[in-house]
Amino acid sequence: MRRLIGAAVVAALVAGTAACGGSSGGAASGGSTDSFTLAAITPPSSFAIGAMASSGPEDPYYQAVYDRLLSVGTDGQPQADLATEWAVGDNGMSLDLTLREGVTFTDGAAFDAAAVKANLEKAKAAKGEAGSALGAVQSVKVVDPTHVSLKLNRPDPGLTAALARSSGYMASPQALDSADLATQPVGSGPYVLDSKQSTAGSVYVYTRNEDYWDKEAFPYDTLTIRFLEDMSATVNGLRSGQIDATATQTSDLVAAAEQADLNVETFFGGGLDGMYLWDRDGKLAPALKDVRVRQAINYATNRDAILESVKGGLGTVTSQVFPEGSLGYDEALDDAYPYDLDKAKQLMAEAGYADGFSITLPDFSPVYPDEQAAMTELLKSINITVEYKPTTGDQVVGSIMGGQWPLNYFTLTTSSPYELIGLTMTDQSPFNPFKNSDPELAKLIDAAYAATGDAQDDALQEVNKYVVDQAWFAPWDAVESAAITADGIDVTPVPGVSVPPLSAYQPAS
Amino acid sequence: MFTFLLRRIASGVALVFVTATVTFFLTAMTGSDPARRILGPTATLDEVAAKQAELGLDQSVLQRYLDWLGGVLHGDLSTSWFTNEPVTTLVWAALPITLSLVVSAIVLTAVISVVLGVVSAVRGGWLDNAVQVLSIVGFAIPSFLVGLLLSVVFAVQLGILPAIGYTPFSVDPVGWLTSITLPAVALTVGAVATVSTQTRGSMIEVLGQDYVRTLRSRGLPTRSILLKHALRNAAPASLTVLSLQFIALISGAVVIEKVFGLNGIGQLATSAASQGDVPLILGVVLLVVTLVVLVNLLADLLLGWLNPKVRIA
Repeated sequence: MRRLIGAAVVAALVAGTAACGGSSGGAASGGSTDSFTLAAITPPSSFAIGAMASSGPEDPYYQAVYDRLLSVGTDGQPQADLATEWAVGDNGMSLDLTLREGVTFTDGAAFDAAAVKANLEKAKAAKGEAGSALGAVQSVKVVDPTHVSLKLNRPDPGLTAALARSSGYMASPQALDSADLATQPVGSGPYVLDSKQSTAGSVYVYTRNEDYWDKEAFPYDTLTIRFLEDMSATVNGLRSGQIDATATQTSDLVAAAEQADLNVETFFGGGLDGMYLWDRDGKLAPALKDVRVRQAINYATNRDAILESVKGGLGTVTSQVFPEGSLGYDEALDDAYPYDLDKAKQLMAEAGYADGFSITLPDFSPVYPDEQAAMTELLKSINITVEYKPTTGDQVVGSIMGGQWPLNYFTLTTSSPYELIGLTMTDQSPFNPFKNSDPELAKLIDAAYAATGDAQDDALQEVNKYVVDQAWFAPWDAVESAAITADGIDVTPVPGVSVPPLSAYQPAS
Repeated sequence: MFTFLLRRIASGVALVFVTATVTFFLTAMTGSDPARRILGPTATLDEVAAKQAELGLDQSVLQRYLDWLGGVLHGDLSTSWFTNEPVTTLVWAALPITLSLVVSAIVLTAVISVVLGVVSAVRGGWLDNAVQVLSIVGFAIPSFLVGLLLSVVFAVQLGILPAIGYTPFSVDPVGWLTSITLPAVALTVGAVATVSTQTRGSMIEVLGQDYVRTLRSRGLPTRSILLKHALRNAAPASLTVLSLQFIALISGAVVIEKVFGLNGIGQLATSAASQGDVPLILGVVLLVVTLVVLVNLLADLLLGWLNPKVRIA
């Protein structure tokens, strides 16, 4: 026993001495271009083409290894990437792409039109978010090695935005069908995943792709993306110099970062936050068929108070569905429904619901306690009482699409006004659970899809105005994201994309 | 001894089997929809149904259980639904982190607790009171708070130890020590409070026995009486508490791993549970239960070494 204790004491002393002498913890990389460490709130789900979400916190993992056909410019609009030029033709029924020459994948395969065709077909077949966004693509035709033509089954002005997100990732055609691609990506991107240095589900280390065609845009030699879920760990990592940057939509993290004197840059993150009034035909809650009731909910919504108390100020209050800077945005609609409880009550009375009514909604309180409390309170102010039904997080979306709720609090993130229309406003839209069909709206949507050039903005504004007047939704705010960086790092976020692209991080000038 | 070992191993295997089976059926009863989570909010209901079929969720629960069990018996713990990595890869990547933390914490706990327990039992007086007060404080302060404080002071302010992350021993032994020091110390505080109190109590009891008085009257040095005779007899009780602490530390590591951004078993378990990643949940459960069985077995063997009467029993 004495020997055992003795050995333990020695081990502890050695541990203590070594701990005091070590200094690897404070290896700040800010300012230099040797390495860059990013914290992400999720590990990557899969590197397989078509398996990933349209856009979101996983983006950096994929952008490190995959180029996209298009990328998103700092104005939020698609810009050249692997495709150098693009043109919509045939009355919106085709999209022609001119491809960058001289690009090779890291396994030596050439990037050409055949590779684009193989990748797009793979993404479409995978049936994930990336595939759904390619729904309008009927076929991909190889014109010659540097030109492809996408034949569409309907005009889709949102297609270029999709190709600038996960639908446009290009993997080596030689690796596309390999099951290993899910964990061992082969792309043409600025970095190569170093599997030996990485730990699955935890830390992903990337080394520079020396043959990359645009090395200047990615100044760091080594990229590390670290999965960090905990807010304090993230802040301490940033403060101690172990992390250079992260992106978040959590107001608590932003507040903690500001308190710690870290650099915080906020920007529109692409999400529309608020109450989605699904049951416009009154199937579950007959009262919601009356536009005056839906408008009353909008007037009863104190957006400024909600933004401050619930969202910690991280957002921009709005009554309309398209965000500032996007096509179809109409400044006048921001105040379409100023907070006016008297008017809300008057509309309820006119609709014959002065005493209100009851509805059953999904219980989101485990995830969104403050949002749910705010919604309950505002509905109660016009005598709408809510009974909550327990729902697990992963049942939420399915139950919404299955038409189980007349309305609920929700955030939908989209890449363009066309995507929002496609998801929520047509009688085929997955987020139009009761398949409400409004001939007037359908006409306006058709016009918006057919419009080109400047006429798109006007046509989308008409759609926007109509759904706001008809109170299809009761938006609260356009969600803001924040990019938090340590000293020595500059970031230029892209509006409408919740996580800044990798190229947005640069050494401070 | 051999029969004793065989019996313990057999009951351990049975425990692992029963726990994993119960966990499997509990996860099947949650009614969650992992396919929707994987595909995201914009996938259609048809696409979700296709994904469910791909994951095997269209089969009966019993069939899924038999498939999973068959895989386990062949060493295949299936693939994580959400990261597409083999469960064995994820679990083996996380295990060294948690083991480093827990083993270091248990070594620190054993050393500090024995010293504090013996000193306060022998000296008594103000020193004993001080140790008792410190024990109560150690009990009262949650380990995550200790972790946060340590992180802010030693990593953020002083910059001498890392705030987050883990360095494998094979890559850099010194880096490994620095990466686990703060979390291990944070875990140790509560455990020391428990084990030192237990050691103190046992020592006081043993020191009051007749044979100790006899040893003293025969003129044996105090050091020899304490370490060779008293501590050896007081140790079994402390060892039992220590082995229970080992299991408690695995649970405690869940929170500490979060605070220090260590993606160990705790982090894996919470992520898997919150996502409904059933293959990963089952993999973690299998591993943790096996660990607990092994630790209990080891504690029994150590007790047998310390006290031959236990071996005979």
